[in-house]
Amino acid sequence: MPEWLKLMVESLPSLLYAGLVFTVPLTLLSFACGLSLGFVTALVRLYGPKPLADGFRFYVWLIRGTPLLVQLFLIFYGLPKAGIVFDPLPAAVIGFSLNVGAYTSEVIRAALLAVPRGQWEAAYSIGLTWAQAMRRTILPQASRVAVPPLANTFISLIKDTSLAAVLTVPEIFQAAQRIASVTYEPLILYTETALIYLVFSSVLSAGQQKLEARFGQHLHQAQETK
Amino acid sequence: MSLVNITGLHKHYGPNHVLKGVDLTVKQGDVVTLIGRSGSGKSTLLRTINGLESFDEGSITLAGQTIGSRDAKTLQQLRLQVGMVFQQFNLFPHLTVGENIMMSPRVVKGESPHVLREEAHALLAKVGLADKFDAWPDQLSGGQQQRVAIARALAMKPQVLLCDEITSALDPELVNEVLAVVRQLAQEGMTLIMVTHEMRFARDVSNHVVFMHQGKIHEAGHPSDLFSRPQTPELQNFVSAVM
Repeated sequence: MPEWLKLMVESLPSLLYAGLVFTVPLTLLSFACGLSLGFVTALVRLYGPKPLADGFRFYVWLIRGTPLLVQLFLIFYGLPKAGIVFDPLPAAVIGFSLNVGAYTSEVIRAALLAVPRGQWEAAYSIGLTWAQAMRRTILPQASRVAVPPLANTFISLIKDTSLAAVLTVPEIFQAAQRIASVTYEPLILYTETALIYLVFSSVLSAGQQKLEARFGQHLHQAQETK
Repeated sequence: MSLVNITGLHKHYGPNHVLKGVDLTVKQGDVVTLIGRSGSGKSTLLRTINGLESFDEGSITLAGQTIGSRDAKTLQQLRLQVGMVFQQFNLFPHLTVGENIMMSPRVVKGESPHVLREEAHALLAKVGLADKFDAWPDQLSGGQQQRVAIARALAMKPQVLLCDEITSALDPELVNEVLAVVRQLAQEGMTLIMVTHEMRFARDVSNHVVFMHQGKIHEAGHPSDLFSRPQTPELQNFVSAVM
């Protein structure tokens, strides 16, 4: 076995451990929180009272207009100066969730607006309430539109979690740095790291296709018969 | 006894005064057709009856209940009494035909699945689409989609059915299959209020025709009088242009 492959195989358990114990949970938790935040943000901006909607618009403007790395530094290294101290992992979850929330809120807002007004009118006309119309008719149709761009955000997020290394979270990239610094083999270690991220995001892409198929059920059926 | 009672209805769209004091009474079993040029306010009037359009002044009552309340719950209860069929069908594309029809009774009234399916099948048979229960809306022709939309509106057993230019988006050869369903409903005693450009159909089926002009009811009466002896020059022009 060549030397480089041996190093890759030997370091794989540490990298995979870092990935499964830190990268994956960090990604899932941040995406879940971020998506919820994005959904609330989109709903308030579309249907909420003006002052509240303006507040959420300010949030989106602030997050989208500043670098993620700077936001993470502010939360982890900056806020303790104001007496607010987070452990590394919670700081990372907060930073990533705020970020995901801002971006997904725009995706969800666009997807909700993409459902024709006639769908609301039809739902109202058969006696559905706003909440019933939203849940039964608008959201399922908006979801189909939202899945591809949301998957984009998700895949970006799993790669962005490597930034948590600078908050001392021992995720994949930090594990790779640690091994590279003692073996002096950055080319091999970072190549291997990149490949692991590639595998993770490929799994997500496959999941995206499944979701799209589910929400687009009626379209595929229709195409088959044409 | 009057089922729908509209008095002194006014509506503005910004600077446009689109309804300028409309009075209209519809009795149980009436088939009322609203005709007029585009922009005359006929569709707006129709849409106020189930609260899809608000209005600024006047009142609408349906079976004694007042419409126009800002209270969402009252409005929702009211809409269960008023079916509506749209020009663009507006079927829910992510649900099958059967699911479209069962939506309202299932969600709003919480009926049991067995009863729901039976009623939905009966309604589909009534509109001549008994075999389409599991089809997707995309797989149907425009005429079939519109008939499903009628079945969906009927599923909540409304007291009155509003039809807003329901054949205007259809290819000409599909118009009759939809009109036949409406004609059958009229014969069964369903109260109907429709906006239509199908004048011959309006004359055959309705017992009251309302000609709207510039936001007001300009002339109204039994179709045989209204179409053959229009009194006002505006209606004379309209009739000679469309018949």
